[in-house]
Amino acid sequence: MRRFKKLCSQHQHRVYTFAYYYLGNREDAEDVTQEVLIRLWERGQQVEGEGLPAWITRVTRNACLDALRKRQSARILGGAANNEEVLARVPGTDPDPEQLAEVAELRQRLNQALALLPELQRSILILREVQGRDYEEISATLDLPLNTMKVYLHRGRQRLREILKMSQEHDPN
Amino acid sequence: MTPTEETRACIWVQERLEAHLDGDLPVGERAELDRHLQQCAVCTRAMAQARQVQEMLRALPLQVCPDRVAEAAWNRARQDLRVTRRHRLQIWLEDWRLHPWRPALVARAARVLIVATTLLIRHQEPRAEVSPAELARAELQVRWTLGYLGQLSRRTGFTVRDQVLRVRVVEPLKKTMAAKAL
Repeated sequence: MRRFKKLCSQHQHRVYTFAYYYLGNREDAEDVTQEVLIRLWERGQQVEGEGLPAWITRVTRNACLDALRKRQSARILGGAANNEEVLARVPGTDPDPEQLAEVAELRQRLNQALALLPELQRSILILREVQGRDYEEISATLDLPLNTMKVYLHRGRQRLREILKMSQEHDPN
Repeated sequence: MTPTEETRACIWVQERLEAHLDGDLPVGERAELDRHLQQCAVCTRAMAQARQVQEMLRALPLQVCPDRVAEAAWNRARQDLRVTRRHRLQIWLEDWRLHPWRPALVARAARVLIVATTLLIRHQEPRAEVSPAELARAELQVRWTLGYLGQLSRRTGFTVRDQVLRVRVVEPLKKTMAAKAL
């Protein structure tokens, strides 16, 4: 039980982050995270050591796919507090309301654009760009050859760029 | 460069922008792409947009999972553990019910052990009527019984130490020795 609690504290935030950006809302992300942790309890002992993080990622992704199939997810956006965090990372900036609003809008567009990507490209983008996983880890987790994974990553970003451009053209304000 | 060649060059570059951003282009292609970017404002702008999109993605914050999510999983784990323990106890009791000779055998072995231990204790007091042969026999019986109980415990999971010896031998012995000390 102690070991299980330790594993939960090590992995729950990462699982939740992936589910949140994949599904686009907190409620679904919480449900998926709980499901993944319960599966970790039921079957985690069969997967030991270095294989565990990759297994957890696969289970999370599958759970997200199931959630998408079962539910119609409403796109709910991240809170203002996160926008302040983002601005705080840029040196020399002092967040003001206008900047916060701009960041919020950008993030809204980004979240919406992510939802429009094909599933595999979305998964890879979240793992690589949001969670900072390295190429080899993603390749092993998704069981894809390294070069194939890179092609999906590049196409995903390119597609995201096109969607954002179209969205901006449609609503220049 | 003709407009067609220029368009083809731009298409070639824009297909490789993302790979260039990640440093995944071969050296030759990288150099050619850089040369094109120096001359083409459109592709330069596209490169800047690609970089911006990557930065925006990387700036997305890591989310903090609410505690209640993990707590729900822990509660489920605790529930499973309770069910497992109850289930194991039921199996153990059922097993003893199906093999009634086990408790009788254990009780008999415990009785032998108690007698042998009592004899050993009496040996502590200088009494001429207990001969060395009797003592040796008692000691042998105790060793045999302990060995037998050990085997039985391993087979049945029944803890003779805690459920028989402690209650029927160790505690009474302690009381006896405490009384003698007084």
